[in-house]
Amino acid sequence: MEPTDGPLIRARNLTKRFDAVAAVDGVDFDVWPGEAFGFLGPNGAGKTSTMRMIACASPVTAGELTVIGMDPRTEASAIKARLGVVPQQDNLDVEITVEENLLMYARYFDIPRNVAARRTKELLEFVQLGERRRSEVEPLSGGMKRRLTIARALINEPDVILLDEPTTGLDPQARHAIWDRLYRLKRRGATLLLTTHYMDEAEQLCDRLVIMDKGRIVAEGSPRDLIARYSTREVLELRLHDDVRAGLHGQLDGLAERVQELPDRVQLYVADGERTLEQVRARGVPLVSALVRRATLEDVFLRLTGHTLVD
Amino acid sequence: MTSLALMLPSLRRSHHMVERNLVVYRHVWMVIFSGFFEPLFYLLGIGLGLGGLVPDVGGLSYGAFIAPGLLAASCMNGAITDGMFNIYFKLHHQKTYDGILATPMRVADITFGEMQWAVVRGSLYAAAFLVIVWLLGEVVGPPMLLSPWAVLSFPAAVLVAATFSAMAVCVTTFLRKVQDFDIVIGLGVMPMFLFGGTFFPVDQLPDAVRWVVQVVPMYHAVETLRPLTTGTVDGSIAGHVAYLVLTGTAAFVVAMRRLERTLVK
Ligand SMILES: Nc1ncnc2c1ncn2[C@@H]1O[C@H](COP(=O)(O)OP(=O)(O)OP(=O)(O)O)[C@@H](O)[C@H]1O
Ligand SMILES: [Mg+2]
Repeated sequence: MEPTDGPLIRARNLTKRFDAVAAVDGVDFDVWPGEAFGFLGPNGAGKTSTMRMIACASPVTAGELTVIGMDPRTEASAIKARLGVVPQQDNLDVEITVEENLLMYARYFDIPRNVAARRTKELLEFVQLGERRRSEVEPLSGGMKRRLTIARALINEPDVILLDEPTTGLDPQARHAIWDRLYRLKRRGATLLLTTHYMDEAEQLCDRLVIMDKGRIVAEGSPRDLIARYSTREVLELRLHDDVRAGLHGQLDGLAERVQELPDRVQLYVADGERTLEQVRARGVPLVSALVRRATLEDVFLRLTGHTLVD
Repeated sequence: MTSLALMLPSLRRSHHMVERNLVVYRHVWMVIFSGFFEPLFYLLGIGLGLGGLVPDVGGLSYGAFIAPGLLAASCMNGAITDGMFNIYFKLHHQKTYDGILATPMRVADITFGEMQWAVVRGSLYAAAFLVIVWLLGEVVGPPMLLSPWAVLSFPAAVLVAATFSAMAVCVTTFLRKVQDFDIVIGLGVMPMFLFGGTFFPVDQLPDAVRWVVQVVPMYHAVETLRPLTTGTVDGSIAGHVAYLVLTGTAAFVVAMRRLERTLVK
């Protein structure tokens, strides 16, 4: 039952259907101990459905899934005892206080009261909510609720922590506060499984990730690998007047490895953006603006699916 | 969930649910009191107030007649507060159960725990109500608990509370929007309260209506409690108790299955 080596989570041809909709359409992945593994994908990609199957909150429709060496169909309670879950939507207990949320959650795991009290204190400090421990849940800010949910997910000292869009809807400061907590967990050797539709979040936090679109995995690797494999090093973004753009007639041909037309801009995938920009200028193309940047996972996503990540 | 063993609730885990509710009610303890005062006010207003104008009912003072009816009504109201309103909001609005289901707790444990809590709360009301009824009868008169059998009306009230709770949870699993409560209260709870034998004997009703009344749980709850408090116990009480046990169990099983389908998709 206890895997000493081998993946903590193993999925083969994992499928989730809701009536006619295939929310997860036959995905394969392995999550290894100690890694931060991400699911990057747009709305409706199937990230939450995948997470919920792993968390034993949603029955597997077809395929194989093993979590910590166990089968979610028959050993759900034993699996859940060893997972920490941060769902996409906070579901804190709003009828009790901040501190009681952790104490009660510990009880659901059959954690003895004295251990629960100690961990509650430590975790509230860890997520910087010690001073709000007697507060109700409702008046907390979005970021605080998220941090409390993270603390709650850690109460059972889980082997794997599942985080479904941990920072969606938060302001930049609140996001950084959460990222900071997640880095600390990573440094302690925790296994993190997270979904996001922010490529910066994926790049910062994930050792390895899969890119999901429409229920399928379209690529897998470390952020750096994926960028190297599916993009050039730099991207030249050009903004042009519509009439200029309509009359380009191949003026940008041969300058870039790949040209991506987007509604508001044209992206040129190149090794050296500044040099290409000079060449564009030399050809006399009138530009509204130009920007050279490093390639990101967004470019990988665009290349693989033909559409942008956040619409 | 495939095998029966996986469907059966665990007593230990279900107790965590009871504990949670105790923690919640530590913050809103006044709410606990309110549920107790309602039947008491009915007793004082209708039993003693109106009772002065009403002749004896089948040889009983009006107070002695309606006291067991109000005890049943108190069990029903407690079940509706905890089993319907509270559970509906935890299920659909606060998503409390989704949070709890990320732990080793299962739907069966949650359902069973919520039921136990409702029964505990209902039992507290019943005990307090019985003590007051007894004291009022002794001090102000006329007596409302007329026989030593009345001692058994407490466990009987616990059974009634359990049956109503299971039914309330079961009904709640069918509610989709807040307005649905009005239908249940208006067309289910109120008629049961008024015509289920609480305020007058059901044989006052036309035959056709009586038939309907005799199917609903309130009637059987009253028919279980009244012989005990008035000391008119005969064999028919076994049938009423059996009705409460069977319908309660059925409602519990249906509630558990439906909650499983709502919560685990
Ligand atoms: N309970 C459900 N019933 C029916 N369809 C569902 C249900 N849950 C998800 N779906 C559908 O499954 C697909 C994948 O949804 P899922 O929530 O897994 O995507 P996601 O990647 O988490 O998206 P988001 O970024 O919006 O959270 C969507 O088409 C969604 O409409
Ligand atoms: Mg999602």
